[in-house]
Amino acid sequence: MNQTDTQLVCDSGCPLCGGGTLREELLLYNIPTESYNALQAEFSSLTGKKLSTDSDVSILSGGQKVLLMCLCALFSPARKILFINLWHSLDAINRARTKELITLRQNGRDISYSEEGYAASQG
Amino acid sequence: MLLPRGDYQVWENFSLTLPEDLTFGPGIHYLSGANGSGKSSMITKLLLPRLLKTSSIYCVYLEQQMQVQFTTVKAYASVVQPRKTIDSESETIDFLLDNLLCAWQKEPRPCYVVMDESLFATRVLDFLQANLPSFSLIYSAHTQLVKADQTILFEAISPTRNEVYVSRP
Repeated sequence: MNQTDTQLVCDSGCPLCGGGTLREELLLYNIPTESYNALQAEFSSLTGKKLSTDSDVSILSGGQKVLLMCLCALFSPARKILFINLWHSLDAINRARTKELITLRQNGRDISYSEEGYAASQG
Repeated sequence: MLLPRGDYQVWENFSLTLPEDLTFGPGIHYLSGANGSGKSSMITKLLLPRLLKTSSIYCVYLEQQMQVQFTTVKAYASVVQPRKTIDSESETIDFLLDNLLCAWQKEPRPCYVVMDESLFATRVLDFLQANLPSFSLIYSAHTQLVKADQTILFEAISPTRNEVYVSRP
């Protein structure tokens, strides 16, 4: 498969891949183990919740799952990322902080958004 | 439908405090609060169990992340209406609302629709306003979509406790 043609699709309608522990999510996103602590620290700073790799992520709130999905994508090695309806599930503060985080961690990657459902929900 | 005032332990390390009784009569009820403030927990742990126990009403619940609900309704529809195809979340919602309307037309009862940050909130509201003379719509969202009869605010008191109170226009 040509890696330049692949895209990591992150749909906020289905934010967890594994639905079990944080470790499963990190493995599925192919996140380097040396980044685990940084990701956990970012999540804690966004939500106030401390997660260990053994934490059950299925008990997070809907918005927190979306934040975790976003962090996993940003800490993953994916060169192209598509976020679907990313903003819909986030409150105003988390939208702003997530935008900052994406800018900070973009590193020349191709990040795009699809917000059709979100736009429809806004009338 | 009434939620009596009190402290509700909704998760092992998280509780919701209702300083006053919360009443959900006919009208629009908007749940407002930050991520993780307990909106979905109130819906799933407090509201839905009471609504589902009440046989004299109809209740439709639209989940926040409805992939599992979509798959379940698709499977159900394939049994009860084999020619009906459901291929998207919006078709899932149409199926559930049509189902509600059919039931109501056969035997009118109070209708409760509970939406947790649905992407299709406006569409649901339009359907309800066009087809039902009265309904209770309870919805959570990060942006208020329509004027509500009561806004229910979720405010953090401590990392393990949030307070839920009503703000009326």
